[in-house]
Amino acid sequence: MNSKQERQTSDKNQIPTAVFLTIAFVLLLSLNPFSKKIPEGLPLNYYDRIEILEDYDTNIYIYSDVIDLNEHYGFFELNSINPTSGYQSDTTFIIIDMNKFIENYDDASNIEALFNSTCSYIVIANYHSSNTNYVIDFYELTDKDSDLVFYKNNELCESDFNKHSFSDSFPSIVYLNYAIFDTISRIYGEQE
Amino acid sequence: MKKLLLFALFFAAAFVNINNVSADSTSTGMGFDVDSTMYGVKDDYDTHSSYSYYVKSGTSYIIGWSRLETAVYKDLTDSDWALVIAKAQAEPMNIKIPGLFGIKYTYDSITYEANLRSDIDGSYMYTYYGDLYTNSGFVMAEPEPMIEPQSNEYTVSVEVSGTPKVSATTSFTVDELEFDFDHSGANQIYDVTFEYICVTGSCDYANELTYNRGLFLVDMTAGYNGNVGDFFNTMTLETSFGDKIGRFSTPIVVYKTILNTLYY
Repeated sequence: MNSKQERQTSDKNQIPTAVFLTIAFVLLLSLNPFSKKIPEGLPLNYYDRIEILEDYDTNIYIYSDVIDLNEHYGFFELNSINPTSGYQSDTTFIIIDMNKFIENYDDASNIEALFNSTCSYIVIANYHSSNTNYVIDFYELTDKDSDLVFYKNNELCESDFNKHSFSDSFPSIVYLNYAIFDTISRIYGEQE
Repeated sequence: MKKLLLFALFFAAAFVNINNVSADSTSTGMGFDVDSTMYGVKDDYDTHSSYSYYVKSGTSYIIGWSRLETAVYKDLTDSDWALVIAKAQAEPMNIKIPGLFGIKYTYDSITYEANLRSDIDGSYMYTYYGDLYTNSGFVMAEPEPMIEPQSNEYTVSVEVSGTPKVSATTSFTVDELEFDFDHSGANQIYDVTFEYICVTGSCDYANELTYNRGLFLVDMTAGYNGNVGDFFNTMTLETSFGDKIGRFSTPIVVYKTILNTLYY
């Protein structure tokens, strides 16, 4: 075999290797195993939103059996709604899942007492999907179809905050968790 | 002399205060400068946000966020009129979506248009108890600010990206943004569509968080036939988002409507 034939054989052997490497490179680019995984269906700004919460040292308290912030942000789990717990920070958010609330309380007075005693944000989640009959004093009639509303006691806190309310339900809890991140970061943006 | 000086200072301070009458925090937060002497503070405020979802292979992908804020003010100088202000926001959101062979690609989401519509005559609301309230009889005046009273030419506020501007009279360049407007006193409809289609120049704003605003007067003299207070108005924001790649072929556009209710 002369050198020309050897070179042609060598070139032919290299073709499958090149194809394999190209496919592997494309797959590597598309799968990007080194990047943090965003839950399916959520936007690319997912971790940017979480970073904003971290930058503000946001404290989140959650009264729920299902809301877990997709396990991407640490939170305090609440076993009861306690109006005297002394949450007073502008960067504290207390999330009350009505699905859990209606199983444990006879009336909404605990939520109202909490609202009237804190300058933290009170977040009512799953009001619509829980099919609750609770009438909460500060909960507005126009939010009856909402599953996520952010309130703040403006009179108590001398605040100009306008509520944030979603007009409808979410496809799953993963999206509701994202909406919490997204809304908190927008609230911070409005304050700047 | 000292007494005279103090009196002059107090008088000057009072004069300054009187002339610094400002809008309430809601209207300034929405980018309007509503005169508090004429309109006081808001009588009602409502806001809702929503995501727009593109559904592919059974999975919902968030491709946009929009928000509608509305507020109503009584005209304290003339009970025949009320003022409604509206601020709409739209933000397209990029996603990774499965394409050929399941390989994910970036779906570059853009805003196509935002339609702000108020139809007082068709307003309705279900309450907690399932009752249907209706109203009719309002006549809406021309939206403000106007170039001239009673004219058909309107200055419309359009703001692109960044923070909302305070001025309510910002005008836009025609070749930057197309715009459809329909207002009819007879039909009692205020309808404006902000189309995010550039004729020339950059279209970058379609990828950004954008603000649109509307302001109009409601004639209260036509009577009110509803049974929810004295004033009742529903306003909708319909925002459409889609894939930037598809804008020159067949775009897949997702429409989302948000409803706000104002009453007092």
